[in-house]
Amino acid sequence: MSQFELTDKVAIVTGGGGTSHGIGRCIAMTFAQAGAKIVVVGRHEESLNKVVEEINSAGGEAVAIVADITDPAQVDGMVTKAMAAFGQINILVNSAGGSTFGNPEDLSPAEWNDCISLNLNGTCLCCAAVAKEMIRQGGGKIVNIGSSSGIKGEEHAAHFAAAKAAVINLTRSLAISWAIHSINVNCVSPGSVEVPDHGIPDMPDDEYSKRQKLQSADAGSLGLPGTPQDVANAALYFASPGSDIMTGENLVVRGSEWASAYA
Amino acid sequence: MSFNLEDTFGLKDKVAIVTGGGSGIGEEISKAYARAGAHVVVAARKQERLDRVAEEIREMGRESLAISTDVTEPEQVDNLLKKTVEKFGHLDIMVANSGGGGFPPLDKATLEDWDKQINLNLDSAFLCDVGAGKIMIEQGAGGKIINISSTAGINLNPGLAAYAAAKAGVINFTKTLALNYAGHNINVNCVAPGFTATPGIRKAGYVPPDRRKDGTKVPPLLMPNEPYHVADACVFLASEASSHVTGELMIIRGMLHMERSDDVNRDRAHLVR
Repeated sequence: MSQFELTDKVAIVTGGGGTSHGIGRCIAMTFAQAGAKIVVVGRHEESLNKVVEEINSAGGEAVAIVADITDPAQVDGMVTKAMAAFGQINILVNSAGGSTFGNPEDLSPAEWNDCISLNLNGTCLCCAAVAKEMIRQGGGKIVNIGSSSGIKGEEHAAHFAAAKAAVINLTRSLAISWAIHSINVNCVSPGSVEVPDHGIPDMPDDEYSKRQKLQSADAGSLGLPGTPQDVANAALYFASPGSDIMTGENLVVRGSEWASAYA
Repeated sequence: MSFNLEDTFGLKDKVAIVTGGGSGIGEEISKAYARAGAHVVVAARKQERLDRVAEEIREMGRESLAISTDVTEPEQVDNLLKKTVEKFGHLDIMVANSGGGGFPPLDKATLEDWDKQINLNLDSAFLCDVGAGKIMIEQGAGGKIINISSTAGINLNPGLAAYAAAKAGVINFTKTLALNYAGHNINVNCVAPGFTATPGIRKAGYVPPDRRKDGTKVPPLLMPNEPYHVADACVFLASEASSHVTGELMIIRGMLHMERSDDVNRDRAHLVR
């Protein structure tokens, strides 16, 4: 299975502190198991340290860097610190993101801006800052985490859906721009993801029960929400040599949930 | 940490059928599956080629059957499925990879030419997928169906009208089938390779140049696919790693079109440092 290994690679995983869906945390742990050295990035030092500790105690190698990815200076600092820690950056996973929920007509300008800033601007800042280093090094792999909301729209999270649609399109543009530098840029777009025993964090009850109704009773496990591991597996595929010729693509990981979007 | 690479991305003791497995991309998929731990049944029309691939798979320590099959003939597809289950007792993975292009200029093309292409590229997917689906549903343990389409099914292809239409049909059929089979935990996905430098294509005289006229190296993402690129995606889609992916299309290609574009060629000195 060497085509899916990350031996001797260095991966930055933003949103790796497991603050919301636990996707970033799961990606960090999975990549460590696949052989990569991990730089876990997030705002909350305590939760970052927990992930680092888990990776290190399982025989992996990880460091935590506290950074707010919406702040260009902190993003530059992240790259400098990662280089100081491991001397190279081969993989970037932009997993930091999140959303509030509400009716679009009730969204405040601040809520809209915060959401675009975190999900789109933060991703773009990290891509640009890390790509400069990757260009110098002769290549790399960038995996953005989009969302199926960015394709199908989202009734109670228009700002999030718009930002994620932009991330999917940004992926394509960066892939074109950086192909000559041997940087693959791809996107993984999860549908509903549930953290075992935690449901979908921050989601209002009515939204949650509506989603559950959409999950067809006879659809088996493909009809259920995905897990952070499902997303991490796809991210690993795009970070590994197994996808060396793929760039600009968006892989949607949502079981048969898509069916409800077209019904 | 519960994640294990071999368990998640491997295919240990899975039974796979790969149609068009005697050469090119299909041969590469078959061998990649065997390396990942699967037993592989290779099917295509030319027995001699199949026997060679099957022998290579056995040398890897996996089991293999080479079953000469015309995938446009329902009885022959039935025979392929029957013999597979007879030998292995079950079927986990079906890769409908058989196909081929070639079409006369539109003003000379007949309905017969059209039907032949639809038959080879689209009907064959229907026969293999639904045949495998019936077995997988009966087994009750889920399964993986992977259709090999082509970027011809997405792009403009003035010279490949019927092939392109058939490959577009394969992409949409994949989605319909995914919906039908979701309740049985059968993942149905589609892989659309761009231009792939198979041994057949190399033999026909095209060897992808990795140097330009000015001596600079062509960046790997601006090169055509190698067959293993397609095979690696097929391993991912056949493995547990993609167990929550269904009805999706994976396009396998770099930015070869940039290397071919005259504008890019003209600006290359500026673009490449």
